[in-house]
Amino acid sequence: MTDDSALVKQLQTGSLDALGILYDRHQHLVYRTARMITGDDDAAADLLQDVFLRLHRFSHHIDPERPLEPWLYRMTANLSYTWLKSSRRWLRPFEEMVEWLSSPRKHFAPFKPTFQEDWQEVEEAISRLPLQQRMVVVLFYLNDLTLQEISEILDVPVGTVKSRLHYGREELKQILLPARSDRVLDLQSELT
Amino acid sequence: MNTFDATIRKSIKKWAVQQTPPAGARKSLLQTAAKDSTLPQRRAESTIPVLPAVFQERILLRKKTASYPQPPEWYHGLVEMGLLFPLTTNTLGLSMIK
Repeated sequence: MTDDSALVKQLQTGSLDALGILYDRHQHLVYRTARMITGDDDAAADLLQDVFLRLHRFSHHIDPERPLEPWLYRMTANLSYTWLKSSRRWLRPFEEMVEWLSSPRKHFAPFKPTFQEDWQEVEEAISRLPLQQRMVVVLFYLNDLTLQEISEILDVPVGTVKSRLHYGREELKQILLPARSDRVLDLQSELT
Repeated sequence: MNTFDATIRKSIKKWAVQQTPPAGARKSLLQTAAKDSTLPQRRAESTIPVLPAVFQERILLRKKTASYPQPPEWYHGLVEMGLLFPLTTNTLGLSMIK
């Protein structure tokens, strides 16, 4: 199997076949990361196209001797961030105000009836995290990246990544653990 | 790794396997890339040499220190009342653009 380095070199000569192979190889990485950061199917599909078009367009600026995945993560995180900021800049404060006014507590996790839906609950919880924390949490848990790798991708110090992960984790606990204990109590009452 | 991390990671992995890019995305990408290759701009870009590091640093610095559009007055009023969270400026989006 041709490695990424050779494919990037082919891409630099204008090979669309190389782009297709790189897309097949890395599409899930890009799509899932964008989907989890933006929380939007259509945006993730658009960003998937955008990332690979930029890979094609700017292939001459990419060093084929370096691993491609960090570049893809970086571009995906950057474009997802930009998409969220541009599409929700003015909408988000109003959404937060409505949520704050209508919610009895700051973070209310809806009750989920079965344990099989754990992943939906986690997705919902992650979507409630502040954007900076969400990006670190996604890269850490979804993509299994180290703090150092995340630091390089997001271009922030390792200490900042560690701090965002810590607060993100605490926020997730606050959102998820009460919901889980409610659910256990509810299941117990159903059984008795 | 603690139990909480392991649980979250497991849930996210379950979520991830169900997320698949839309059908036709590959074909659409290759068609757009093929059109893109024929644009004069694309051809011109390919001949532009990469800027020396010192110029890149200057451009980055200029982007980072550029002023941001300010929200209207009423927004600050709502922030002061505690009804809204203040907007934060972040250069992440800018610093990664070549």
